[in-house]
Amino acid sequence: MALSVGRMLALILQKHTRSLRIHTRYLLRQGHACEFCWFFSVEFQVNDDEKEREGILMRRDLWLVIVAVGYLVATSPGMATTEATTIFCQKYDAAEACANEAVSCNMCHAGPPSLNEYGLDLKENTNGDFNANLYEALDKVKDLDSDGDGATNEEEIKFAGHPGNKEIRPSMDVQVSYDRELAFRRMKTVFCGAPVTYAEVQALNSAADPKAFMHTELDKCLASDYWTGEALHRIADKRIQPLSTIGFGGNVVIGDYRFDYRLFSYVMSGDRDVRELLSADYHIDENGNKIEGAVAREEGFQLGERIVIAGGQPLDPARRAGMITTQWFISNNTMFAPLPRNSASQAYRGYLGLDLAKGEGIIPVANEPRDVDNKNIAQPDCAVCHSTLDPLAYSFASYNGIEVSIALLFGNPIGTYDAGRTPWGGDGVIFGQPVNDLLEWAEIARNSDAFKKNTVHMIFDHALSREPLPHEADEYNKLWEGLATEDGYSVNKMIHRFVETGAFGGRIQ
Amino acid sequence: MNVRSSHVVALLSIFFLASACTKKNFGRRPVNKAVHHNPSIDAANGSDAGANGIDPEKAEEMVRASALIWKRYRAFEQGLMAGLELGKDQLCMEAGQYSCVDKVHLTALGGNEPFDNAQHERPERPSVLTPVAVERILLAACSERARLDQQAGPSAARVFKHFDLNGAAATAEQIKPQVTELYQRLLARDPSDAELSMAATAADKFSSAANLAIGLCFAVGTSAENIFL
Repeated sequence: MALSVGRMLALILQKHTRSLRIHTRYLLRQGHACEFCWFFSVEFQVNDDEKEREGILMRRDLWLVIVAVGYLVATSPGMATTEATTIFCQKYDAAEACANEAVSCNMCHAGPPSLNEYGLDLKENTNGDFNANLYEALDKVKDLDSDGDGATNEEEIKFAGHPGNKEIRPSMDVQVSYDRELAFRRMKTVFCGAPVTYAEVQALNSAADPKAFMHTELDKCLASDYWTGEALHRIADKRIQPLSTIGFGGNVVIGDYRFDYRLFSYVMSGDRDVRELLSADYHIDENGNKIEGAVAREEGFQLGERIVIAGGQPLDPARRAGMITTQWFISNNTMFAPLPRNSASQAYRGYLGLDLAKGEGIIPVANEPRDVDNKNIAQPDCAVCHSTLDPLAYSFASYNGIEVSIALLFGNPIGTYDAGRTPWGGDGVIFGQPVNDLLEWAEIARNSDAFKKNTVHMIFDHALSREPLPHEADEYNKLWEGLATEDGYSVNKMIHRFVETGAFGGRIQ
Repeated sequence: MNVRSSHVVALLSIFFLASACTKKNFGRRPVNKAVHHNPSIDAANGSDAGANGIDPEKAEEMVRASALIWKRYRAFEQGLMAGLELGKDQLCMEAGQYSCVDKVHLTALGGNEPFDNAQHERPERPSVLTPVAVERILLAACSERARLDQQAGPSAARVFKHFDLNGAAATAEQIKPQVTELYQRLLARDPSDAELSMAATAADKFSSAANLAIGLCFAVGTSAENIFL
């Protein structure tokens, strides 16, 4: 069997090295964990026929990665610690960065482990023992302007700026007045995908109740094909991460992401509970109807000109947790990985807005990482993130991904549940809370503030292509806080509130 | 329209647009320039607004620019299709086959193609190629509308119906209703008197009525107001 599996991988890689290489590069760029380094090595080993031609580029890329990582490690001050963020927030407990945002390493790091200008100033003032001297160092650098944007570090921290990023400056009392016509024009463009017409503007301005008129039009937009079939799909792209060569109809089919797009759009529209993104035990067919139970694959197993190793939705509905248990999600993120760190980090990033690669959402678990799969991640520089990531990933370990042991089975095992896949499936922890399985993981996730913030952020970013500005912090906070209490977790209802904000319809005076 | 005349129209239109945009309040509402600093910061510094080193003009510019919404590919396309009464395949097709909006200039117009290009996120802001793409599509769309209306004649023309496109020129008085029509169709508002007067000066800048029509359409369609909200 091992020979057959190796041969199959060789076939895949010989035929489709280029597309897989592009995909692998993309995953690395996205900050996926080191398990893909192993995938690289497999590719070198099995792709004998083409490694002279293809492998040279691969090796060169790998060496570039190794050299780049080596350089970063060699030049790293090695002081990225979670204690540092705690000390920082003890000093500045009222700062926006501590009160309302994900605790992030980016206050001091340009991208861990390299430091930004503020971090460098702190480093110079900590005299070797970073954590011990940090509190005093914060005082020493408070009057400096590390990023050179004209505001002192303390001003930036206290008033929603960023001391190490000159693009983010302290809050100002910007005077904004709501402009109904501007909001209407923007609403039609963003949510209808078509600008207003002259007649529509006339109708708005002559309406007895322009606000009611606009919201009636918004309802039409949110039910339109543009919103449900295009705009929501583009919002979903980076969460689903499709690739046609390995999706349905591709050359090497490892899953069918059409289900993912349909489910995402379904949950995000029609006043449905957005938490079903992480709880749905159903799928949606091409006509928009619910499908209960397992979904049969459309193409059987193939190994020839085309390779088809997956399709449909084979997972038992009792083990489903919406977008993070579709066959595509698991297949695309859990590849030859006993501990599916990529799946966990992608779920954390895509649906909770917490990107561990950017130092967001780091909540270390005691005695972790245990390094259960011998990836040498217990060393301090790795443990900074893996003490959070590995416990997050344990719950994903009970779902079969693309694996050497099952890839050739004639059934449809990818994405199915297997309690015995690893011994760690019940050891998961999310937000400091132990969970027995992925269903409990998803329940905590979808009821968290991070989930609400991320849901609002998806829409805010889609509409405005930016983060909230400092003067918009209050209304932004009200948006996500009201998602549960005012909107009943309906994205549509939240959008109706969003278009009434100054951020969306405000004209700066 | 042959290539040479297209270039002439494009150059003249750019000149027209550039000169129009140097005029104050072209397509913009008057705004109050006042921006106030956080009083807490100023109080901490014991001084008036601006004493903390933040340039008020620069800060205002940053906030104002950040607050704009980019009318991306689909809304841009739909606006032209509706405004100029053109079908999707009449708007702009590369080599007659590939949609300028969905394929050729998708990224420049703010879109992304995830399935084949693994481009999972759209660009945050316009690139240096965006105006090139916008101008190309506008020129193609305006030219196609002018061609169709020229064939139809003034009585059956859909957009360019305020002067005869087969004629040698148009008067300033004929231009004004045509520009008003274009403003309503592409910008969903009436032009100001200043904008009408500005447009009327284009009467003697084009070699033919058809080119004038294309130039007016191009100038209105490529205004920042049609790209940013």
